[in-house]
Amino acid sequence: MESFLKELARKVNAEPQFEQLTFIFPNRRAALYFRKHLSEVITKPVFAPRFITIEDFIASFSPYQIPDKLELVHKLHGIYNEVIGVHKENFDQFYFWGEMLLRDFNEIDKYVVNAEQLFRDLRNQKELDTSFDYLTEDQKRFLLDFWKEFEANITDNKQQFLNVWSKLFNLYQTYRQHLQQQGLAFEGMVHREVAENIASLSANKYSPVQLRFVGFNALTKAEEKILCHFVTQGSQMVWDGDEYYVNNKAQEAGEFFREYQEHAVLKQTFNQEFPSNFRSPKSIKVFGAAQPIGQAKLMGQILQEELNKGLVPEDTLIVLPDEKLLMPVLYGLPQSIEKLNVTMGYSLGNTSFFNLLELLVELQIGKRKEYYSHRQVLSLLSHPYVIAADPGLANSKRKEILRSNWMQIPQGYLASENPLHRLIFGDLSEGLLPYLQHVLKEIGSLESILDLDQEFAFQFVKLLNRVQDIMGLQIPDAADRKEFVKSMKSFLRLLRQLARAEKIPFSGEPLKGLQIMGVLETRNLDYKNVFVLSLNEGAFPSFGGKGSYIPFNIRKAYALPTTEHQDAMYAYLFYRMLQRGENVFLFYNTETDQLGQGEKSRYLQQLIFESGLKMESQVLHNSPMPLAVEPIVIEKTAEVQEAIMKLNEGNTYFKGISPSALVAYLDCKLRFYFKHVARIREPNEVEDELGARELGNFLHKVMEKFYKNLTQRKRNKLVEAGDFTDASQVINKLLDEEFTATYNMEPGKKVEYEGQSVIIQQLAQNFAARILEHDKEMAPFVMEAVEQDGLLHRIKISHAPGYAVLGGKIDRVDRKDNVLRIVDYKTGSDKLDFESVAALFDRNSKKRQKAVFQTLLYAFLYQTNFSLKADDQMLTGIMNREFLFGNAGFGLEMNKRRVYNVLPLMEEFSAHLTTLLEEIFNPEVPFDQTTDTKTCEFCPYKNICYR
Amino acid sequence: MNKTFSIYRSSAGSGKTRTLAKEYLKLALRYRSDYFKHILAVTFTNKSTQEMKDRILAYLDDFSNDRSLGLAQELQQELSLDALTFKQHVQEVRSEILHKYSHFAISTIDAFFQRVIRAFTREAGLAGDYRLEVEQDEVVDEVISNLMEELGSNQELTKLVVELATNNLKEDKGWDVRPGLREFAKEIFKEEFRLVETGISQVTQDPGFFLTLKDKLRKEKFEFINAVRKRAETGVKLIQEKGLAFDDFKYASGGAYGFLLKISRIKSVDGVDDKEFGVRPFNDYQSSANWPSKTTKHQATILKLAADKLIPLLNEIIEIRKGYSAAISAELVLDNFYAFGLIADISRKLKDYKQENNMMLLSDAPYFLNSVIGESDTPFVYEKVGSFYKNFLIDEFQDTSGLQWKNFKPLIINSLDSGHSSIIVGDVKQAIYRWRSGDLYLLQKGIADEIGKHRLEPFELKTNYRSSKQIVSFNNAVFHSAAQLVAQETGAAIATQVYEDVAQGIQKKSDGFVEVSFLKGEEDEKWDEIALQRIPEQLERLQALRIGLKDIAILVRTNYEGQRIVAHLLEYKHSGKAKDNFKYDVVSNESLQLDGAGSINFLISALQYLQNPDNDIARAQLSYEYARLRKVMDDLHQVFTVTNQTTFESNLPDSFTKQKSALKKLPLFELTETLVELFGLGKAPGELEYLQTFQNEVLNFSSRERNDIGAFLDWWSETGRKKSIQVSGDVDAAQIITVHKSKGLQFKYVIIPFCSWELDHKRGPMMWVKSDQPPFDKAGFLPVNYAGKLEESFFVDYYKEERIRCYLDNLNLLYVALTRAEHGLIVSAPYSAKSNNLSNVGYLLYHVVQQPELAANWNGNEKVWSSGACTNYDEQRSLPVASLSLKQYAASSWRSKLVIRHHAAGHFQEQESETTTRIKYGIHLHTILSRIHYREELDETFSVLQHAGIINEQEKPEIRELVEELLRNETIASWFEKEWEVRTEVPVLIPGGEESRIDRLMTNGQQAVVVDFKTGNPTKTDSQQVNGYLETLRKMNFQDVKGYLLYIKTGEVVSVPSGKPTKATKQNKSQLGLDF
Ligand code: SF4
Repeated sequence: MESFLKELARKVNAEPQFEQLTFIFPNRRAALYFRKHLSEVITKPVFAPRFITIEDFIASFSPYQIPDKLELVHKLHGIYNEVIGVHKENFDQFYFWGEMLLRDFNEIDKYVVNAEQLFRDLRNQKELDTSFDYLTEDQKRFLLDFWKEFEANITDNKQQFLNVWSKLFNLYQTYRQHLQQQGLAFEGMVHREVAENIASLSANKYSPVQLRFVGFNALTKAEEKILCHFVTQGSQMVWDGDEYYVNNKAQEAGEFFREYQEHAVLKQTFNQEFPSNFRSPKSIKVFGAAQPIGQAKLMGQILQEELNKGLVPEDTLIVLPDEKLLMPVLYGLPQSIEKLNVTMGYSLGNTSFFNLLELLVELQIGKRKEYYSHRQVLSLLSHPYVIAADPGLANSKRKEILRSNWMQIPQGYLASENPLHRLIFGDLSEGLLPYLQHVLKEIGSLESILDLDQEFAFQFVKLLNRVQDIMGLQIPDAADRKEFVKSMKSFLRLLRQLARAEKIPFSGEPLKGLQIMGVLETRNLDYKNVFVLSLNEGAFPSFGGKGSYIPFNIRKAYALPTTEHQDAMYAYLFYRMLQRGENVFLFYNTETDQLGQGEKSRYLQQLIFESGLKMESQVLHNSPMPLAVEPIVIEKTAEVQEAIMKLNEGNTYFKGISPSALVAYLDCKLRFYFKHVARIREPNEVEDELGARELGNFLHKVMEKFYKNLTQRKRNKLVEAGDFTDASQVINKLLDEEFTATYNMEPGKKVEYEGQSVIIQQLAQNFAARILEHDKEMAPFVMEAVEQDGLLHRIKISHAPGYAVLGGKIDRVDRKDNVLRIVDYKTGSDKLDFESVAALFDRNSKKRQKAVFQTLLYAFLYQTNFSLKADDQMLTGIMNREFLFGNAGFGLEMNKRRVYNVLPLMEEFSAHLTTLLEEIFNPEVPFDQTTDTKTCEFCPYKNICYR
Repeated sequence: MNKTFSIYRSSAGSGKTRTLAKEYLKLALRYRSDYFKHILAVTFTNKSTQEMKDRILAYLDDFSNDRSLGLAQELQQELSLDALTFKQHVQEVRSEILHKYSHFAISTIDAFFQRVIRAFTREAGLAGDYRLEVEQDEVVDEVISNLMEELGSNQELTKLVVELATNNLKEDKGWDVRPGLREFAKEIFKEEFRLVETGISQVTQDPGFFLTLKDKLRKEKFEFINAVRKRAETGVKLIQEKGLAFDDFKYASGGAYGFLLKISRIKSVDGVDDKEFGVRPFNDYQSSANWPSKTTKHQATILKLAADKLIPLLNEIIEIRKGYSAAISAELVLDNFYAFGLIADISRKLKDYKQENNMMLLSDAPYFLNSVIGESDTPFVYEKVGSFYKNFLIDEFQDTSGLQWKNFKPLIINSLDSGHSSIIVGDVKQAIYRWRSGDLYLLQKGIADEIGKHRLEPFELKTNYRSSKQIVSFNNAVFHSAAQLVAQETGAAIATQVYEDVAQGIQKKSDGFVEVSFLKGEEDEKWDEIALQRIPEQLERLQALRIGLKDIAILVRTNYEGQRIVAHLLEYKHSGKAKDNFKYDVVSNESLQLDGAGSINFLISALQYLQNPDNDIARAQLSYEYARLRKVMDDLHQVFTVTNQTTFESNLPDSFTKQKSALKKLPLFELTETLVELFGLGKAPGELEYLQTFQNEVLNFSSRERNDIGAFLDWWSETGRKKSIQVSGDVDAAQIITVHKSKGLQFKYVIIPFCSWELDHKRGPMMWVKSDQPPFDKAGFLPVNYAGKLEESFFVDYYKEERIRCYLDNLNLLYVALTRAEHGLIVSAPYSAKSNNLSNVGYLLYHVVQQPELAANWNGNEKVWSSGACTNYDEQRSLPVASLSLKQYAASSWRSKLVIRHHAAGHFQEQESETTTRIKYGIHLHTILSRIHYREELDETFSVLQHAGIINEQEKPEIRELVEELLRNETIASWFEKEWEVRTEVPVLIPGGEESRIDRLMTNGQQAVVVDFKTGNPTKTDSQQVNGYLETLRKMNFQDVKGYLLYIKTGEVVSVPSGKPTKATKQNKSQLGLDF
């Protein structure tokens, strides 16, 4: 089927001197295609006729400049605060509302409505005076109906409405005047101005007989007036419609045409029957699929099939009513598509740059003194662009921060070496916007940056330029933290709104390859093959407008467009894009959104229920069947055995088999393998959520320091009651030191605890104080060992290499008289009662007390490393919550009986231990998974195991 | 007065949807044209919204094509229309609906409320584009973290939180306060809280009051505990001093000594609750003769000790125990007291958070709306919303909350007052959403008072159209008895009242079957294991009857059960037990989590690895998944040797390892798509569905949150991994669905494998309670956890009420579960040997089936109740709708295919080494020069560029100066003289579908001068290009043509001789753009 524009080009070429003509189109794209078609039919070079969009056409009559939305809303904000502002509103909060007002003002002017009357408060008016006479009776009724509601009772909502309403005219007027004085105008103002004075303005500007208005449908009142002026002077109109919807009154798509056919002036332009293309035979296929991805991938597949059947990409249009589908569609395109052209905006908010800017602002918000917070720093150091500047540097810094668990990172450390890093982590001396712009420009000029990235960066530079010029953004001094943070956050909110709304035009080689477009871009274009996605309510047609402050009835009364108007417009777009197509593929999302909206589009329903066209319908479904989860079993091959042997080496990396390794082995053989044989470590992460691990670490460190300092000072190991005076100050000091060291803070400075660390500090302090209280009571005693390291012991086994080395570190060993105590500090609530030594080694026992196992293993190591006196007794236990704050005594409880001496247990313990070690080294016993899935719950490897 | 408000009580399967659809059609057809605009139908779920819409459209289509004649005739009669007129009306209404579809108002409550709120954002002080947040848990996490950040700077808060932490520590609860606070914070989203909220924040905002109350409560609690303990300890000490042991006492360790020992160690008040206390201390132990055991050697010692010391001590304890109620009440309140004290802080933080993120929680809506709708503003509300409703049709009314109703009420009253009718439909027996604040009492009785009896007309839909006779009679009998048993158990008649109308008429002609098996756990196998293992057999059995899997639903109580079943069936399928001709495929909306699929874990670990290359676990998983995908798993040790970089990378494809850093530059979604491509993840057919869903989540995340791997991974581990794939019901697989979700649905065959949920709460919810006993009388509402120990507290009434409701909830759940089946119902349930145990629905059923009315079908030996024969009752096997599947998940890079026009080019070039400003601004100069016709237009052009954001205020003077400098060159200046007729960026059409664009063309009669501006360095093609223009111009009949090149960088002007025509015209591709 010949396209509308081609048909037109043929006709135009037949006209003499067509290069003198001026064509006015609804959008640029149509003109472009038309030009192409025209150059296909000419025989020698010619100056192209003039092509202009209706907006530019109208603007060409007006001396006023139309600033962009940001500037308009900003100016409106200023006036609003003057005229209406009861309390001043921040710009970022106002923005959305400002946009809405601007839209309303625009519409009032584009529809040439008497604003003064519209905004009038007609509460007590029973009848309308003569100045309202131009309204029809129906319209008057809408008005009075609305205001009648206000007679009876004025509720809060109504009052609030009235408060604003009564000032809107003033706002409207002041705002327009304000703009005019500066030679500016919003679009509606220009349209109205031009419409009202078109006769005088247009004199000599264009020769009306040379004007062609092509492809219009829904005209605003102002446009209608302007067009009518030219039509009466001899300009021509070319309509792009189809009898299917024009001649059927039920079809909203034809509503405007039907209206114009009756129009006093415009009716003369309908000198031809509308063609009947829509009903001509075409193949229509309907596909349902879940969500954007389902549709996009299915579309790709269908497209591939069609390509195989000979589809030509240049003849093919893909319409994306929902911008969100762009990326999925692009990635889902068949490999064989070589060229494609995308004509739709891509939101700046979706780019990595936006993410970077957010991070930068948040970085500044989170800055305290000369320190940045690790959260943003780490994100920034792994941000693609920051990496692009110097991958090695970013990585090494990130590693160091993670390794040292720094929560606050000094600015000086970060802002060095690389120019980009210097900018990012440098000072905000010039203000926020220049800071952001410098960073953007620096990134934009990186060598490794892609063209597209550069394009994005440029768009942001432009955006920030505008923000700078318009708002002259003032960020308060960082010294006033509260104000600073407030305004930064407010800027961030504004930036979010702007970036999401700002669309980067993906305008490429417009006439080549496969065409991908948004709905509005398709106006006047026809393709043989048409794919339309997102045929769902809310996407196509999109939800009715963005809201208005003008109530529905009042809109009706003044013939301002309502949702019906928009529905009709969208319906036209839908039917139009199909009418000359031959192969039509329609896709819809089978899932509604969280509010149940976004069902199958009405257009699909209309086609199905009333078009009479033949259609095929299919739904996408793939049977889910994930790869089967197989058990993981590691056989002890030669290599595995070699790795196990390393455990036996006592060097800096391997310190023998530790108690916790044995516990791991008992818990799950595979976990032991992962952790100790394959040495798959848990990743370093800065824990801003300080947890149990930190509390334990601090407690250990503080206790260690306390006693190490003490014994060093006294030069002997005897601890006496007198040693505990000032204990709590000492603890606090030690804790401060520990925090300073751990979090890389400046030594000697007062430590300020913030957030979760307050709790950690308090609790560590509580624990330590209680321990020392106990110790004081027990004093005098001898502190035999503190954090005793390097205890190794060889056990003979039968498997190669014939021995196993055990190793471990004991928190503390003290002695009172002949009683040695092996002490573990723990902050958790480990249980110390056990059934028997055998039960400690029994995988399946519910009461396999790991803590008991560990203390006994320490005892074993101690006993085998140091010679004990004959009458020595050994007590093992844990200083934990039960002991410190509850009423538990110190020591173990076996089979409900307190164990006063563990030495007699050692023989049995050692026997079990040997058996256990035999198994670990036994090449026949593989490392397999535990059958008790409870064990897996907190296992770091549970994702690998699918547990 | 006419009764205009109809209530339909609709038991299960009674054709409720049809009734609603019919009512809708009746109204729409009676008033015709676009009257349907004035009808608002409210459904409970999104799905039923869709169904209702489809149903109405389908009926209209049917009527106009002479189908669905039964209903058509009913309507014709009720509307008194003849067939022809009826059909005309139908066609008219159908067309109206199809074309005014936005007014086809069938929606969920939430959706309707949102619509209203959107219209009032300004008045309500909301930012207009607020985001609606459904995931409360994420919000709670953030809020609590934000609260914690205030520690240290907010003194009062710090004090309270530290105290809470220390307290937890001492009471052996987790010292980390956050999980507890998070749990607690969730309470404040519930409607129960909203109702008491105002009173509460006053109490907690007064720290003085709060602290005093806390001290009082602590005193109450610990004085009690210590008093008991002190006496018990004394007793124990006395006994131990005498060297006595358990054996010396009657009942040994369960005797008096044991008792004293136990309560000497109590840590909480409920340590001495009834169970511990028993009756012996009151009678047995009052006499010393009952103390010693028969065998003891210390008879005399004990007798004396008891009489002299122990019995008096015991009586002191008994005396103290009289204060149990006060003490336990204090203890219960203390459990949540710190969190309670933090409510004001939490609310404050929540408010901040919502404001900063410009969001509204879905649960805020009804509350919020209440303030909007008020009591009398209805027309104004409609005005703002733009729709005027005259008739309301509300479905599932039993699940409507009090607050929601409050919002509807003014609207409905308004319509009733204007003489319009409305209907509500509901079934109290199917009220199972109390946890979402559904209030069944409303339908049961409240509504009558609210609307006024005089306007109300009740209807009952008494016939069951859904299920076969066997199922209906089974349920009729079961629930009649069950309700009575529950009423007895809870001591409240409400259960029997609710189930009063349970008996339904039978309509279905075909037979069906019911089979309930009761199981008991053996030594090493629990009953549910047996039940689980039966599932594959049951599926086989049904399939053997040629029943398709898609006609089978497996109803579960929790998602966890669903996951168990999925896992078991998978395992079974891969085991040797699976039979050849049978399928074991299941789908479930909830149970198929994303993290169950290899390709997803693959992507996640790849992201983790890219994010942190030192993450060993990510490496291990990546390596493992890749091996799994390619099925090369023979050397797992090699696979897991990941700490060695070389070995690790050798396991992965080069295309990945070489491009690591380039990959990181991609936005999140593009990154994951590219990974799919690189690793060929999209080829495992069974995982496509997962990939699709996952990529949707990625897409959503990156547009909703941010484009950041780290943030995504955080979200993944908290929330994302639990997302599950959504599968449509039309596939050949059995559907696993929770009972809650199954409400309103029906299935041909239903299996309920674990019919065993508890009737009482397993873990109590939090309740807001009040007491007029001091010191609670002044505190208003306080939070306590539902638990049995409330029974002796001051809050017992709340406990009882909650218990009654909870039992009813669970009974209702059973009702919903047992009424889903059309033909066959297969149930497995546990039973208890104890005869009076009614703790779960299985036990309850076990009782019920042995009642006389059902006993005939009871097989006591096998413990099976059955009725009807297990056969395929289906007329024919239904076919799945036309579906097609993806062959693979295709992902291929597109960047090379897309030619985009660069606006940025030049803006960032050579910035570092820039030597002259002219280079820096070259692109601007080009733009300016090619825009102006004459010199006079400079000012305007600058202002246009500035408005477009291309240049800013600071740059302007510099650039201006550069332009002026160029214009000082005579040749250049001459171009901008008025003598010329000037065209800029002139498009010239060239035959064959091409065009060229000339930067600047000056003409004067037959004379033409072409100027081309260049920002780059001179190249050979420059003059060729200009020559090309000149050639074209000659073809256009210009006689005297001349050309210039201006190199902006240097300001150099080169004149192009009009020499011989060069080759063919070369078009200037890069400039074939959109500006004209
Ligand atoms: S997840 Fe379970 S099976 Fe896997 S290693 Fe950890 S504990 Fe063992």
